[in-house]
Amino acid sequence: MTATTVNPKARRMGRTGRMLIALVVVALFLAYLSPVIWLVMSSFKNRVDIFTTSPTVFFKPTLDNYTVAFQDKGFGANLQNSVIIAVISSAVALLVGIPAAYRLSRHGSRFQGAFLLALLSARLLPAMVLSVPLFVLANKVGLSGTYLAVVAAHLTFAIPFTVWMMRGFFLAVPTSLDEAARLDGCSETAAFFRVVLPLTKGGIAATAIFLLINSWNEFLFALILTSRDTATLPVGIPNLLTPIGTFWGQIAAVATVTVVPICIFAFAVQKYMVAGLTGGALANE
Amino acid sequence: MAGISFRDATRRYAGTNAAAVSGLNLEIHDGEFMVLVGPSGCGKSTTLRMLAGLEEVDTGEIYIGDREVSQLPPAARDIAMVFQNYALYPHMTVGDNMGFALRMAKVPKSERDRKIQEAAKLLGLEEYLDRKPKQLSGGQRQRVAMGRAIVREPSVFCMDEPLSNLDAKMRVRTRTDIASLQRELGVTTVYVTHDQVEAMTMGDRVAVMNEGVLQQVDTPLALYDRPANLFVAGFIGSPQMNLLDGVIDDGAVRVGGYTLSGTPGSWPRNGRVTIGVRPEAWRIVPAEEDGISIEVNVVEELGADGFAYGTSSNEATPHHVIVRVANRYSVRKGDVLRLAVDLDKAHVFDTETGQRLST
Repeated sequence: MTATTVNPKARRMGRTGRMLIALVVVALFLAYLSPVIWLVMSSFKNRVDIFTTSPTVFFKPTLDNYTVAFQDKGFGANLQNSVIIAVISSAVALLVGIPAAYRLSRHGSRFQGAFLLALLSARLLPAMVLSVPLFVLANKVGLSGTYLAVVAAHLTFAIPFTVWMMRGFFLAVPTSLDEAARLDGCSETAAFFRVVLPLTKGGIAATAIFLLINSWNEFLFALILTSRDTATLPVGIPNLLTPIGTFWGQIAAVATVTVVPICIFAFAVQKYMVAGLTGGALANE
Repeated sequence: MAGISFRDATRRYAGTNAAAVSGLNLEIHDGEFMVLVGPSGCGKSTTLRMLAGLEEVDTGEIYIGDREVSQLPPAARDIAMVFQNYALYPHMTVGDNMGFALRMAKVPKSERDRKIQEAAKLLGLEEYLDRKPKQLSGGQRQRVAMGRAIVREPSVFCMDEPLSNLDAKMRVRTRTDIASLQRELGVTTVYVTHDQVEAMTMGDRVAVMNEGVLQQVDTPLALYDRPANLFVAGFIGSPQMNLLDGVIDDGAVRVGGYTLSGTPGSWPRNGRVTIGVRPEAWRIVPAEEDGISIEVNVVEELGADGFAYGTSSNEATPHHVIVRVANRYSVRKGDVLRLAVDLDKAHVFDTETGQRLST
């Protein structure tokens, strides 16, 4: 559909009708956003403001929750752990998954379909089913509590995901382009790097974003495979539920740091995320 | 520049019984424009891709000049290819597309630019060098694909149905452009098409293929005048050659009750044959003369000449018979025509083997 196409119903609808729709949209938007708004506001409130029976939009903001959580209680280390695990697992998944996906998009063999299904089948199991064997395995090989254990666990999702996603993008690049490059003097590898890869930049960006978000938000594997030193932000938060009370302000501060970067990031790259969600379906150029 | 030689080249895809290309022997001369033509699935594209190195050669050899290339990677064969979908690199400008091979070959930038300019001038692409392929029309893209092949000055051009994505008018124009460009450059060219008109108008010689087997190689006119077998007879020529069931009876050729006049060839004394008659080979004769009768169903007026499509009541002839009518309005729908043909204008084929019997 082109941009100039006008829905005949929309044209007939008057000004008030459109205002009404806008109001509904804004109301829905606020309703969905309200937990996040509450979270962010709480993170800047002191204890009294959080527990007041008549909450207000206007209060005296404080950074105490952030300084206590991240400086005194060591959540800075959790933040660092989250970044390390998300970046390493995403990078490894891309490095392994992209060449695999390219190969699987180009050379049809008898076992290709079975292989792709097998790759996907690991994802058919609930994470909970994998968690116990992974925990036992990590203990047996002495990796329990290390970054490597969590990264490996995240890769069980990240690599199949990368292969499936990137294969779609590579399939959208006509084989004749690789062939033209090979006739123009490229080896198979050079054809991949010089012609195919630049054409799938958007797809790689989309895949990378999904990988980062997934690893960043992941809770179960991180919970069972990390130690105190390697715990990620989501794993660290329950430490603020203590016998002497629940530190809601600090929980809000840590949760804000966990959620907000992802929101900003997702907003900045939403163009690529849409491309990623629709796969190669639209790419006919 | 070099000739090409296929020697028993065979390609068999895994899991299929019949070979895609089977025991192909074909000599293409230096500077020749060779067209491979045939219906889809006949092996013409596979042949081209074997030459380019995009498809393995299972048995046999391919030579370019005196180099055996069948085991070399595509990059080492010195071949430029124009693809059906052009395969232009979408992320590069027209200039970069054309210069890509030279950049890969580490040709210095100044020389590269000079060659790109030359090719662009030849193809009328000078003002588009900084554009991306997406911003060009179909015809312009086609020319960029040609330009990318030309700048490299390769020993061989391979073209895989390069005109099939153009509209009819553009196709006819580009057809002559490509043919004259090839003659000007003198580069050995292998051109694949399923369109026999393209094959006839462009090729120095035409190789007709069917089911992975080479049927006949010759100049366009020789193919038209002396098709080697029934397949070539039916494939080359538009409208199609009429193919009639007949018999040889004591040396004379008969279709139903009609005996063709003329001297018999050196064929067997008796047997079942198929007689091929080009639409223009028929003579329209008065009703009392010997011949076969058809009732005209449709008359196609093309301006210069026309074709009458008729139904024959004679059991031995096919249901439909096509005849060229030279004079405007001389034939109308519903007319009954009496047709005769001389033996030296007809093609006699063995019905069993499909091979040509007449000389």
